[in-house]
Amino acid sequence: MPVFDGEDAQIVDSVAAFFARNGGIARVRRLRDEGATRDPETWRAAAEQGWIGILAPETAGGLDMPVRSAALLMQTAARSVPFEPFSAAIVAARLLGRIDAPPAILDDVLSGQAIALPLDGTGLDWDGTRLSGESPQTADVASADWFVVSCNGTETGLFLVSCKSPYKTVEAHATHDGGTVGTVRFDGAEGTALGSGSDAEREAADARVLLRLLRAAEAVGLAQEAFARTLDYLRARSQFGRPIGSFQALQHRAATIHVRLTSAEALLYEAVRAFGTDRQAFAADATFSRALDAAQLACDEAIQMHGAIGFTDELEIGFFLKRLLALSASADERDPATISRVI
Amino acid sequence: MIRQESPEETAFRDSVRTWLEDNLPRELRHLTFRPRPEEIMPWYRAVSRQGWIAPHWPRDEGGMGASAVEQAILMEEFARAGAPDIPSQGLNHIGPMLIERGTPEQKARHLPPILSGDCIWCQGYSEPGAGSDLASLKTTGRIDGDAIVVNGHKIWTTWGHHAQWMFALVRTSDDRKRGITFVLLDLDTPGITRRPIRTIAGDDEFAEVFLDEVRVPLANVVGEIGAGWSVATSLLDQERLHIGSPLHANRALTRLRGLVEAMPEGDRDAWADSLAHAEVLTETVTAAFLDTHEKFEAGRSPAGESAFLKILATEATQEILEIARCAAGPLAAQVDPAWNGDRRLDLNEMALQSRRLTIYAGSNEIQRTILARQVLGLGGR
Ligand SMILES: Cc1cc2nc3c(=O)[nH]c(=O)nc-3n(C[C@H](O)[C@H](O)[C@H](O)COP(=O)(O)OP(=O)(O)OC[C@H]3O[C@@H](n4cnc5c(N)ncnc54)[C@H](O)[C@@H]3O)c2cc1C
Repeated sequence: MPVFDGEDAQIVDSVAAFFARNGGIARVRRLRDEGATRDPETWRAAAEQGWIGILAPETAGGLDMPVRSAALLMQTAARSVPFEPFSAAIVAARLLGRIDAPPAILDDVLSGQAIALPLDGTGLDWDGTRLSGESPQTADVASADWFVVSCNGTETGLFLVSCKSPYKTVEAHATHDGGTVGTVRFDGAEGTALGSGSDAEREAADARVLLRLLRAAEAVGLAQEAFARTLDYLRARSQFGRPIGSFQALQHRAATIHVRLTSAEALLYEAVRAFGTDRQAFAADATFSRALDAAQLACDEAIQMHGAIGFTDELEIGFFLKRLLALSASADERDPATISRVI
Repeated sequence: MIRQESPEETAFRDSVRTWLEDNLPRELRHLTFRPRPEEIMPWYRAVSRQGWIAPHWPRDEGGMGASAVEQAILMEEFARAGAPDIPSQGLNHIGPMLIERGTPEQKARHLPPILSGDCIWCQGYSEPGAGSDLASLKTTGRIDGDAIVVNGHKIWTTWGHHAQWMFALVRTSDDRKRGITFVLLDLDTPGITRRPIRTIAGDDEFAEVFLDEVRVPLANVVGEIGAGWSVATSLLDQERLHIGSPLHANRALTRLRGLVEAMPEGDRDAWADSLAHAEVLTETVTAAFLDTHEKFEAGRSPAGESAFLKILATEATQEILEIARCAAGPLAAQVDPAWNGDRRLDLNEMALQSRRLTIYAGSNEIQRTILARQVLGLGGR
């Protein structure tokens, strides 16, 4: 990791300890086996640590920490592959805190009583009081209590819509990591206008960038854990009378993974630094694409280098690849050409 | 660079850009061949007079003492302007080594001519039988009074036929590593024969050097007799910072951009994604360079870790040039450069040249083994 201070180390330690206490990947497995897409206890406990509000302004009840801290938080959390939309929730809470959302809702969100997620409103229309239209392929669609919608419809701006609205329907599908994806349909759902004009646009753009950064951090973190477990296995497993990690074919591939992950991490923290500058969109897109590529290699190779045991559900190594699948799919893929667009 | 620059850094970038615009001769821009010494050394001296020839050297040794960001700025601007490659064995290898390990006399004698461009150095490590396994080298050094008498055959010596001095490893005893001595060799000494070797890119880039009873004064030994291996490897991490710098990736990106800009407008869009990918690769190298550099300065870079930079930077460069090859289409096979107005377009020269990047300075296979063993803790046999 880049040169970090003591506060950073504290975050890493406390997040790692938190997820270890919560059962790590065993928790994810248990929820999956129970068919649960939510774990309110863990969510509330994470919120009590202040993590949902880690980027929200202090005046709004947040921790107002630097983006780097949030990236470290997600990078570390991802080692336990939680499928919950922590990254999206952090971004939504920041947004709500910055645009004076109704305090009661914000309190619920920051304390973990309710989950608010950002929703890209492409294809939705806001007529001033009501929201209509359809948002397909929405990640974590079954998790949200509130959507913070950014919309360029009849009126441009940010709106808060309750998922309890009778005028909203959801078609949710399970994802391999334990989460959901699906379509939200609004049919004149009532909402609260939070802001409009260039301020709202800027906030929405920042939110998109932040979400990419945090998801890139997740990809790097989960891949680092998958790689660390793979290295352990390369040292422990013997064939032909010696550890398989002594075979050069595997050593060199391991070195390649190391190069990709180390450089993806370096790029991530350069991109984190670039938040707030005019290079932020390019930086976030660049780091996102590099992080996903590197993580894909690490997760694929993790399974290959474990042999048959790596192919079993029993071993946790496959959870990394499956979480990555969901992260890749959340890539705002409605606009796959984002990267070239910003150049 | 993704990183936001300070106002001073931006001012520095502007000054570099302006200076290059005013001072880099047209005929040296975007070259698609390796210029000869008489073509390139005046440029070397001009950069030297400007004070930018040795960004990474400490100030009190005549360098810039530049930060990692300033170094990256220089590389980006030199690449963007299409500045030619300059000989770097003095600046990146023997110079820093003498700064660390040389005697005051050696430093006083050799550092100034490196900085000014009055002396070209070459590196005499490799031999026909000693490549990756460098410690198996056989060129001998026999101590005779106040001199070491050198006999042997060095090869792949970059600019060996143009250089005035060579730093070399010679065997002074049978002990595999502790029998190696590091010497500075004046190439005008009697007993030296040099023969240039042509590369796949068609130029005489390196040479072989035959050494027959060549007398090297003992004062030209760096470190102790028998300490040559430790001298040669003491700066490996620092050297990999140069070889793993974003310079080549930036130069490759400039060439790719040149090709895309020359396309008919309607064709350019189809290359936007590839160009973006090349830019992302370049930024990845820059980010890794800055990160490693800063860790290195903070004393937090474990030995061997910088091997990752060499792999990253060289393979990213080759990947960008592979994109360029595709962008050049059928023209990629053509020897002559193409032109877009008065801008020379590289169709393949750097792509051919860049095959070297993964071979020299410790091949990428060797770097991967180093990483696996020293950094990842995977055992040897
Ligand atoms: C353009 C250029 C400039 C050079 N300039 C100089 C110079 O100025 N001075 C100088 O001293 N030398 C120079 N060299 C030489 C360079 O250092 C050697 O080429 C390098 O060390 C590799 O040695 P080799 O060529 O003998 O290849 P070999 O060592 O024979 O290797 C051949 C292939 O086998 C692989 N290989 C070897 N050992 C292993 C192993 N243990 N595991 C896996 N794979 C292995 C290598 O990676 C390579 O792919 C230059 C080379 C080039 C291409």
